[in-house]
Order: sequence, then C-alpha cells, then structure tokens
Amino acid sequence: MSKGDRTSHAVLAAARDDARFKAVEVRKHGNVTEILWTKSLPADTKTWGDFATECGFAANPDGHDRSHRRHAASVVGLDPTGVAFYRIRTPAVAEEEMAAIVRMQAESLLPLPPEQIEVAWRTSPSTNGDVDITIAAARREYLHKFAGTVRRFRPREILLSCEGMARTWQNLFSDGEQQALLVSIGAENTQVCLVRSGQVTHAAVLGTGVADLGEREPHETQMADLPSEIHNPQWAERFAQDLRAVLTSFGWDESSDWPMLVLSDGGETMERVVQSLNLAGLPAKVSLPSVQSLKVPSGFGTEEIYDYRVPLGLALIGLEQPAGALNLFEGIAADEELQKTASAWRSVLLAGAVAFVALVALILTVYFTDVASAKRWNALVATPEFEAARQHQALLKTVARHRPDMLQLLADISAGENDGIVLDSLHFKKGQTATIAGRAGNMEQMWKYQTGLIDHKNIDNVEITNAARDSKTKKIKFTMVFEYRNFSRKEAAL
Amino acid sequence: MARKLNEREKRMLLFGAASAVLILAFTYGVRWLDHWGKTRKTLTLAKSRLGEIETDEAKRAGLAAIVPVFEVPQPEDKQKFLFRDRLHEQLKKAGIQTEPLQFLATRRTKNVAHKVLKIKCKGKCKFDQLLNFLANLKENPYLVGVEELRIQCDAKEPPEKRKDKPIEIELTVSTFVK
Repeated sequence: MSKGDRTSHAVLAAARDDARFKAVEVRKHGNVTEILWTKSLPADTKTWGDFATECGFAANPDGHDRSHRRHAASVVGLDPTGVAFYRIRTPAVAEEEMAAIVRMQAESLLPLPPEQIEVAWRTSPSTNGDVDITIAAARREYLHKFAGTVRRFRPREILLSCEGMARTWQNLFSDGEQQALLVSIGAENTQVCLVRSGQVTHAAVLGTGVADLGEREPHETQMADLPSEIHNPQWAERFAQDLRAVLTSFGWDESSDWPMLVLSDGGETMERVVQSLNLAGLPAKVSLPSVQSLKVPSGFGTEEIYDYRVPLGLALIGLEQPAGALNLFEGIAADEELQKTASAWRSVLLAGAVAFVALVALILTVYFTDVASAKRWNALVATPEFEAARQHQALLKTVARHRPDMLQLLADISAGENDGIVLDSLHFKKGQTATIAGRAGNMEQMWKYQTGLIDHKNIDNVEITNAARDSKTKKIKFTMVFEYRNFSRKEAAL
Repeated sequence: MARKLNEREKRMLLFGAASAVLILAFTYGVRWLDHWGKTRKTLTLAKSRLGEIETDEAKRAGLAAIVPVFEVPQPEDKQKFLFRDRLHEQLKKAGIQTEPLQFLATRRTKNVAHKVLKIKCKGKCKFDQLLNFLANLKENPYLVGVEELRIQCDAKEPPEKRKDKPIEIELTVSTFVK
C-alpha cells in the first residue's frame, strides 16, 4: 500500500503476530482516524531489523539510527508469551501503599528473585471498597533483549500486544460491550484476555493455535489459508479443556457478566471453532470487526482489520496516549537512561584521563627535549673550536664598532648641494666633533651646504662656528663642526 | 579466606594511597622541578652563547666588508712592530711621504678587553694617494681603526690647481695588544 502523508498526529505501530511482523501507520485528523499503510513480513525468515528497514527506519553502517520517519512516533508491541499476568484484589489504599502491596504480592507470586523481574500494574474499581489489580510481570533480561531488538524503531513506548488487541476490539469489534472475555486465536497460539473499557485486566496465552486445526506447520499457516473444517477432532476437545482451565484461573464462569467473544475475520473457521466451543459447553460468540469508523485505503476490509488488529490497537493507544497503560519498560527505559548517563560520565572520565596522559606525555617530552638539548648544546659550547670562533667573532665585532670608514666620511662631506664651496681642511678625531673649514661664494651657498650636511643620515648637529668675509677674495670663510655617526661620542675614543 | 573490606575501610585505604602518592609527588616532584629549572637555565645560557655567533649571512657579509682581515692581537712587543711594519708598507705603497712613525703610549680603555696601541704619523701626499691609502688601510690585519685624521690643503691655491698639489696629513691609527 502506498504511504500517505505523515503529520505530527501519526503513529506507526509494529508487533509480531501470527508468525509475522506487522506494522501499520495511523493518522488522526480531528475525529477521523485514517490507516495510511500496512506492512508485514514473515517472522521466520526476517528479523526486527529487516522489518524496521522495510518500514523506513534506516540504519547507518555504524549501527546508529537515521530514521526518515521524523514525524511519526512509533509504538512497538511485546508478545505476551513471555509475560505473566496476575489479578489480585486488595483494599483501596494510597498509591504508595498500593505499590508496596503489589511489590510484595508479585514477589510472592513470581518464581524469580525480585531483581530479575520487572512488574507493571494497574487498578480497576471493584466492589465493597476493594480494588482489582492487574499485574504484568516479565524477566528483566527478556525485556532488555526485546528493547535492544526493536531499538531501530526508536519506539516512544513498548506496550503489550494484548493491550493493542483489546483496544482494537473496543474500537472496531465491540457492539457497545464495555467488558468481555476475548479469545484471539492466532496461528501459533491463542490469547485469552479479560478486557474492560479497552484495557486488559487479565490475560493468558494458550500454546494451541489454528495451525493445529490442519496438517500444516504453524509458520506456514495464514488466517486466509485456514481450513474451513476442523480435521483434527481431538483439537476442539483439547482446546476447550485448555480454555476452560484458563477461565477457571481467571475466576470466570458461565454466569459472569463477561461474554466470551472469539475475534473473527468473518471466515468459516472461527464459526466452526465457536460451534465446537459451544458444543463443549462454553458459551462463545463470534465478534466481527467493522471499518465504518475508520478511513481505510481501498481494498481494506474486515479481513485486513482482523489481520492487523494488534498493531492497529497499539497505534490507536499511541494516538490517544491513555493513562494507566501496563508499561513493563518504564524501569528498562530508566535503566537505559542511567546507562547513558553512566556512559556519558565514563566518556568524560576517559577524555579527562586521555587529556591527562597527553599532558604528562607533553611535559615529559618537553623535559627530555630540554635535557637532551642542554646536554648537546653545552657540549658544543664547551668545545675549544666554538670558544675560539666566538672570541674571534666578538673581536671582529669590536673592531667593526671602532672602525670609522674615512672614505665614506670624505664622500659624505662632499655630497649634496656644494656649489661654490671649497673645503680647505678636515679634522676628524674619535670622541670629538669633526671640523671642516672652507670657503663659500656667499652666505646662501654656505647655508645650503650646511643644510645638505644636516640632511645626511651619518651627520648630526652641524653648526657653523665661524663665518667671516675675506676682504681680499670677498668670499666667506667658514668653519663647521658636526658629529659623525657614533664616533663623536666620548666613549668612542680608544 | 580474606574478608571483604567495608566502605569505611575502602575510603581509608583510598585516602592513604592518595596521601602516599601526594607525598611522593611532593618530595620527588619538587626535586625534579628544581632539576628541570637548572637544566633550562643551562640551556638558556648555552643558547645565549650560541647566539653570540652570527649566523645571518647578510650580517656576516656586512661584518666582512668592514673587517675583511684581522689577526688575533699579540703581546705588545710583537704587535707594535707587526702593525708598524704593515702600516709603513701601506703608506709606502700609496706613495705617501711621512715623518718617522711615532708610537703613542699604550692605554686600557673601558668596554674593550685589550689594551690599545696607537701610531701617529705626519706626511704630505696628493689627495688621490690619500684616497688610495685609505681604501687599502682595512687590509692591514692589525688595524683597529683610524683614531684621528687631519687633512690640510694649501688655502692659497685655487681649487682647480689643487689636484696636483700636495696636502698635509696627520694620521693616528690604533691596534689591539694583548
């Protein structure tokens, strides 16, 4: 069937029923509930993982879920074969006390240590101020394993499949009855449930299914393939006996106000089963589904409703999210949450430990590098060749620092604007200002020459100490002093 | 059969172990840190001494341009003659006529490890000869530098005629002695 639009009100439910994995996606628009699509795979050749893939829950190679169904919440049904149901009656007390009573009762009823079992319970009003309590119990290990198996569905809830069946009966099979004893005969087994207001109050599973009617193996048997006649006459007798034993354990009798209804797709097989039960003294009736309250895909009829009664009911529960569901996985989810937290802490501790080890390794690396470098470099520095080279270079630097370039000095004082300037003498002495004496055609030429010297990078503080006009030649005789690089400083003199 | 420790005993044991680790860490850790500190000081010193050797090619070339040759200073008795002879040779090669070279008193100077010996000379030469001499002066392997240079032209001569006229020079150069 084609997949329809998914909205935030859509729920996908999957369960194993009649030796097949079955899934249905249901959407609710106001008061209209619509079945979008259904899928099923044989359970003997496929796994929950394969079915999750078939339903669109893809997984990466690393095993992490990457679901394409971002908007559809999912609900998975747990086969009640591994679940034990008990029904007790206690005085109405506060919820905390009730929990303690339930815990004590469950421990006394169950054959396993309390730490190995998971218990879920709910109350229903009874008479005389007492309350009836329905207890479901299962091995914790079994639940853990199942939760791991269906993890790829990323289920919002894992519910009991019989709860789904009860909800489907209430919504789609019931003719207004509020309570009934439901008999759902599957291929491999038969579920018997006391149902009130769409909730299971007691349940049991018989190991006899319709496959025993004919000669086929259970996994080969589909409801559509069931024989129309009961070939095995002993089957009806044994089935009635088993059913009567279960009903006795439920405290049910013919006079009770729980009508016995056998869920049917309208086929003849269930009619004959009911007839055989009636002959055995059990007042059973057939209960047929109706699709009138549902919007269904074309070709979807009572047979399909019957086939998908379990996932359909689970989807309806998922849509309504009623209070008081028998949730055996509450503790399992808490355990997984604790494990996740512990895992997160372990990751933090591991990261911290790795960081600490890396820090220690870094410190040790730096330390040993320092030690090795110090050893090597000290050995190098201590060699006579190094010391000689160092001293020689230090000497060269000292000499270079005290060696003025006289050619450069002569070039510097001759450079620049010197038109009309004739130099007569130069006196350079380390630790003193240098002196030049000369003649200029006029004052402007002298000043221009001075400016040229001032602009020179090697010459500083140029001053004219003497300037006078020669009466004979009419030229300006001048004397200038200046500092040449750092050689004019006192400390430069040797 | 060994008894299992209770929580209190486990805490005590953990505390004891942690204390022991802390004591050991403090005792040996401080020593280790001291040793590391000394190692780093030694390393810094070695790095500093290694840094005294100039490895930059451009700087080495610059240094070689200023001081192309230099001999390690000898004792004064030896160095003074080596320096004087080489200086005289350079003056002679440049064609500079000088008065006898005159040693000045050896003196010690701040910031220099060696004593300084100076030679003073006076002479006359053409300006070209002086330039030639100054250009080749740094080839003297004993020379430290020119301490004083006085150049005096004949002021009466016009500039265009000075080229062929001698100028008076007074030069003081220095060397290091051990």
